[in-house]
Amino acid sequence: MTMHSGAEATFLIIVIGGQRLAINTIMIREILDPLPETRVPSARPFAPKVVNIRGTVVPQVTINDILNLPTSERTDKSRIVVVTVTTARGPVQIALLADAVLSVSSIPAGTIEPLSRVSHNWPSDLLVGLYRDNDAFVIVPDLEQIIMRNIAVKRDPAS
Amino acid sequence: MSNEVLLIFLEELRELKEQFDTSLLSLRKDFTDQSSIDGAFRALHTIKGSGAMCGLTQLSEFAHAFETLFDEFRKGNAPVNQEVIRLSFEASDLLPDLVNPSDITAARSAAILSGLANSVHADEGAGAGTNLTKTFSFRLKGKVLELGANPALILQELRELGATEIEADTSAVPGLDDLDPETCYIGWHMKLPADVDEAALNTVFLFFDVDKDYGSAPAASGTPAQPARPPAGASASSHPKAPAAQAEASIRVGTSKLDSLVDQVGELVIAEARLSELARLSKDPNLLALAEQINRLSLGLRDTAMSIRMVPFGTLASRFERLVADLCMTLSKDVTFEVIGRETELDKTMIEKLADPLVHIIRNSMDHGIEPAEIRTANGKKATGSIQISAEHIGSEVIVTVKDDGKGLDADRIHAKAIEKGILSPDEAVSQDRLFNLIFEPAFSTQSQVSELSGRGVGMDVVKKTIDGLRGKVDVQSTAGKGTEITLRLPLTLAIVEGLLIEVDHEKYTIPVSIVNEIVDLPADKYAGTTSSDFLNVRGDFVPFVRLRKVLGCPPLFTGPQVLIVISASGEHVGIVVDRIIGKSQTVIKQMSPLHEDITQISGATILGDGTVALILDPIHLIEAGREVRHAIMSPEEVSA
Repeated sequence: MTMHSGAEATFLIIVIGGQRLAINTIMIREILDPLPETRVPSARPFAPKVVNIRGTVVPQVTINDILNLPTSERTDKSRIVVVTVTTARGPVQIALLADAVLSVSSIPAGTIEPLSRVSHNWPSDLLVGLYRDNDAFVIVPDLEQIIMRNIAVKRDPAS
Repeated sequence: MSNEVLLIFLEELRELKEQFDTSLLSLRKDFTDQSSIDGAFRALHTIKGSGAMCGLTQLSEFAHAFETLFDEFRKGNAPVNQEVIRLSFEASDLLPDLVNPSDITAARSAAILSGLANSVHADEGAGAGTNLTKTFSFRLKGKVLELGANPALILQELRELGATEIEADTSAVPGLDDLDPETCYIGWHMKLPADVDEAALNTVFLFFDVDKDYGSAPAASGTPAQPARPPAGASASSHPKAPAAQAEASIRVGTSKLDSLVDQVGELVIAEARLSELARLSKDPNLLALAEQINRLSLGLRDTAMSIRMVPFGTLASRFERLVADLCMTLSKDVTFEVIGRETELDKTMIEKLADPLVHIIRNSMDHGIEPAEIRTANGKKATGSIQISAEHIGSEVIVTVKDDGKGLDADRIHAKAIEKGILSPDEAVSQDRLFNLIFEPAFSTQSQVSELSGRGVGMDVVKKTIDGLRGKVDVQSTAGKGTEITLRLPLTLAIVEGLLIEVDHEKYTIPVSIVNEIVDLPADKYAGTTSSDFLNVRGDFVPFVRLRKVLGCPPLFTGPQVLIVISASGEHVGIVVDRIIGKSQTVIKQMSPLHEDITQISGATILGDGTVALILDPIHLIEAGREVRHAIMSPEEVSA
């Protein structure tokens, strides 16, 4: 994920596993209510199911485990955030399962700071950085990194 | 120049090059075939024009120079020979490269042009030495004498052109009673030097209505007279050779537009399924009638859209003609190449993907399969080898076969190699069929020795991989000394298939109907079962079966009634146990995301009438799973026996 230096960028603020995340709106296609899901046999826990997004079969992605976040409960605030991520393998569309969608905010470039290696529980190589908003941390996930890792990892036949 | 114009030109260049090649290929069989020469000439001419329009100077200049020399063959001033064909093929290969001109292309074009100029002029010199003559006869028509014509003056003019041995033909002069004094009944035959062309003669007869007959008999060499060359204007229609280009009106459409049309029709088919579902639930007769009409329309639209994607096999096959011709020259082998089923239509994507594997197969046949002429004659075969490629529709599959009459596969040496590689154990009995199919093993083909001994193996795993990717099957059959036959079985279309919708643990899956052989109820004693009892006697046929619940990782403890679907692929039967069958449905195949591409059980997905996704089971995986069950069942029995 690239940051636009100089100007400020617009981010969608969502909640996953109780944690607030910011996702650049450039990548966001749409936000939908949860859709009927289809389980994919022997798929990784990262993308266990697929959904039909306007005629395209899109993997529904749960990033709680990957970001060491608590498991989400499905509530009537749950939403699907459809994101197109540009990766080395070309654009990959995913349906991100979020506990809730909060707001859209403009964040000046420079506000987002890279993570230090210590003093937190997040995998720093999968985050672009974080920023503070009213005493709470908002993390910015590196979706390209997260997806590439899950394409590259060879499945364990036993799992 | 805009990119768009260049793209159109490149597409056109590709077609023209194909046309040029096709003409050359038929010219290669008959050096005097005027319609082929004309065809090649026309293609060159168009390339020249379009190239110049796009500002591709080097290309258009080359085409122009080549065309000028080629014109000599067209006019019959120089004969076509093997060297000319070879140079022309070289030129044909050069054409696409000239789009990006460089010093190398300039050198190549210069070499070709000087080679061709030599061919043209070498012959010219020979012609001048032997002083050829041709016969010519004419007969004045109508009331020419009344109009003041004087045949004696015409003959005088012809004499000035070099006419000799002028003879009057009085055969048409009627009896005195019928004679009309104003009509000229006499015709004249004569011999003219070969360099007198039509234009000069037309000047002589400018004011007369006349029947002319040009013979071009080279009297000096004494060969029999060739048939009269038709006048230039009529030449295109004079020799109706194989219908190289159908004259059906057509327009050029970008393939991306075509793909998006098929995608949208796919969406429409899905939307229509939902509509029908809703109409059925509402029980509103008006809505039902409308839904039915839309159903009919969308099915018609689907068929048309799919047929647009269909391309005749011949378009692919003509590329191989060229390949075989080239290989014949480089390998100094004489091989006839025959294409059967040119009109068989295949999906355009499939045609594109088939090109590579077929090139591998044909190259192998040419290189290793077909023996040199002297060995062939020593073995009592025709000196000329034969490679046959055919395409036909069988059910919902396309069968493409490449057959050669070469030396065949060497079973003993493949066997030895397989043991060496640890694929077979030394005392393992193996059918010849299975043995031959080992040549598609990747580890097998990377050994250069195998390719030498068996003549197959180079790139054969590529063939298998591509065909697997197209959800097809490869099979090889071979008889030592007689030849090899490689059969590719492919699904007819890649985008929409008829699917059988099944349910396993409340999940819906689809399998292609084309592979379903039959459906039987699973006997009650097999409901639970262990692996060793996982086979069923279906009318004397021993069918091993797999439980989809297990394959798909659902809770396996299920003891309710179940259904067995017998699927078959390339003669192998495997049963799959499902909870129940829902019905048939139009399945628009959607690709799985890259995040799921490593899942072997699934080959794609489709969207059902209710908008949910159903996964498409991969038949190849199911057959392989069944094979494992078969081995698991067989081996303990063999041990006890």
